[in-house]
Amino acid sequence: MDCSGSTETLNITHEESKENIDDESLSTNVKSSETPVEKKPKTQQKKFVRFPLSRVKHIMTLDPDCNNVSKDSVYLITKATELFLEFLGRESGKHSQQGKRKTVQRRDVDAVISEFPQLCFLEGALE
Amino acid sequence: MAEKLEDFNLPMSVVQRIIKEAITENLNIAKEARIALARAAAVFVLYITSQSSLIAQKANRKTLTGDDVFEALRNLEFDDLIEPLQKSLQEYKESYKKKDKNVSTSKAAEEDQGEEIEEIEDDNEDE
Repeated sequence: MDCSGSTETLNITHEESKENIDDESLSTNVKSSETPVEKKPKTQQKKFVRFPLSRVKHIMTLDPDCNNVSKDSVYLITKATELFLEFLGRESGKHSQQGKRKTVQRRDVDAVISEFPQLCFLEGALE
Repeated sequence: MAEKLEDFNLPMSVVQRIIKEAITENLNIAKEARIALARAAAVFVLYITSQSSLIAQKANRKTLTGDDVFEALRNLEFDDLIEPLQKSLQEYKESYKKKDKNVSTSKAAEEDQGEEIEEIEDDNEDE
């Protein structure tokens, strides 16, 4: 743990120094290098997952049978959960629209859960 | 388990954003429904994890792999998620192979993001 802490601080200082270098080079080169240097890291950080991987990993390790997890498995479960939540939200929304209501209620979620056989694991788990 | 209830939760702000994007614009979500959906997502993480762990155990492996997750999803009849996940994993893998040089900096950035989200969540709870 101590080691990881020290590398983190090292990384941060690295980042800062890099940024400083970038700023200097930008001020000298001005237009040509400006956009590609800035854009790439930003898009790579943002686009893949919306849930924090660290939190999902934490929830995964609550499972007593789960000892070690690979980077890919954490990513896949995070992404799967996002897709799953989108699906559940969309179906719940359809339900309230069918009832001509403008607010998605808890009973819409319950209705979706009993509608799909794959979702039976959620029955009674949401109290 | 009861002691760690808070760790079960995924950040509410992210849950809210994902649901909002999934449903049609003029729909609102009741607070109760939102809490139920967030809980459903967290239960989903554990559900897939425990199934994946079983598969890894049967194969005498201690580390959860991406293939274990795919097989778990197939067993639990979430076949629809598999294709988009395979594409997404491919992109993810390519991105972190490219980033090999900058691995340390990206890790630091990832953790920063996680912390930010947690802070937001805390703010919401105060309200």
